[in-house]
Amino acid sequence: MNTKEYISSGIIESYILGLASPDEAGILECVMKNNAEVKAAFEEAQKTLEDLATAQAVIPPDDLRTKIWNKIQQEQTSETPEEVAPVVSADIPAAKPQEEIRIQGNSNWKVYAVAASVLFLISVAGNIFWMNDQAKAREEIAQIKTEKKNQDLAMQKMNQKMVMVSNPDMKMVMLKGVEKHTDSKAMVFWDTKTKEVYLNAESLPKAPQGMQYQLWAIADGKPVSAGMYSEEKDSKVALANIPKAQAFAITLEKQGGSPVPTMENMYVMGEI
Amino acid sequence: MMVQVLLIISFILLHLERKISTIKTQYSEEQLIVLLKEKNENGFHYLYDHYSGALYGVILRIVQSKDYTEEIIQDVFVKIWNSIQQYDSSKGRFYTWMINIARNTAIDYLKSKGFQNELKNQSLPDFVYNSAELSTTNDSSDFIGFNKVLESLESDKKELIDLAYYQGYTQNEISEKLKIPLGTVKTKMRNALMKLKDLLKDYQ
Repeated sequence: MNTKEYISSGIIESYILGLASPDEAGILECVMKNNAEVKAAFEEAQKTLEDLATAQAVIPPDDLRTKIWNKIQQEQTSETPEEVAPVVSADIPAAKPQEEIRIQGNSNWKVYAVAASVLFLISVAGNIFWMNDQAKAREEIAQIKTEKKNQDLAMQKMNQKMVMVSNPDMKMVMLKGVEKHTDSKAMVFWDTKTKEVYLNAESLPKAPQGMQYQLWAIADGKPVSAGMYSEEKDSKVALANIPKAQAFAITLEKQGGSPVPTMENMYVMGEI
Repeated sequence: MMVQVLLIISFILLHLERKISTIKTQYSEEQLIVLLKEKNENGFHYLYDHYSGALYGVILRIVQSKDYTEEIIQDVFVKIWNSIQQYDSSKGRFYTWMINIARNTAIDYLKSKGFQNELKNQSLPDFVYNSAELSTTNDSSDFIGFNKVLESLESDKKELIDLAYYQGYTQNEISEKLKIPLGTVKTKMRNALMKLKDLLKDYQ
């Protein structure tokens, strides 16, 4: 059977009228998927009966719309008793349809407004989060910068020390912790040519407020002040000019120094 | 901040579009089906505005009584509303689907025992074609106000459509009743609908 014969057999009309057998219907449904001509004939036949229905339309009674809507609402509430019918929909069917549509439109509007504000809030939150992230990143960058600066400083110091250490005229005196301060140590660099004394005392505990480490040169059994130490001077600035010494020691003294060392506050000491 | 601005703009646009679609009275069949699936009340009103007359006409044509029609059409709308999820566009157009629900509901009603008894009590054998009770003066319409398009069909074609379409006869029943072979019923049905299609062109 070719397509034209198949179409003119009347199977399509039978199908639309619900008169086709399940076998016939199955075949037609399959054929329609693959045959545009049959599909078109199917659409056309439907259209004819739809046009017939449209042409024979009869205006229903005025109250039918409300009756049907009430019935739909009732069925829905009775079918799903747990779903409480909204107050609005219970009141509305009595109202004019136009009004219902307007109210529906308003509630749509509200839904969209709410959705928009929610998304707006999400977006604001996203931005705040993003800005926080940025701030964090900036903080980290700043931290890294300071770290880098510190490292550069440390490097500079190391270099200075290296210069001092590699200077053949430089005499190094190791000062070791005494009594309570056995862990402490410091290093005195004594330039034998210029007689200038440098001190590396970074490993000493930080001097308390108002106090300062003082370097002493022991020359012929007598302590002579070899200058006040501060972190800025460490390994960099000569503390004093010491022509002669047999040993060096460090005491913790009042800011500005003391004419004589406070023996009980001695931290480190080392012989040449 | 760009993100927010874009969002606001897109939502204004979306909202406007939605508003327009709420205001406009023309939905495509697909849009209507989506609305109905969402159980949207606008969907119901649109459905009612555009199809209640046609469905009412189909049912009235079948049961020939405005009282019954009013009862049946309520069931039909409830059925459409409740079984919209089962509508399969690959098996036919939406309007046709609704017409068939209306036809089947009305024909079932017609065949139900209670209704048959009432028919007997009315003792009107040719009730279907001669209801004087529901007359109208509109000359392009028949007794209930129907458009006369069917009357313009040749009588054998009209009878075939009446039996199959409005009375729910199966093809076998038609074959027996009209004493024509089954194959002929089908081709005649097709010819009747082709003729009807031509006639309907003048009524558009």
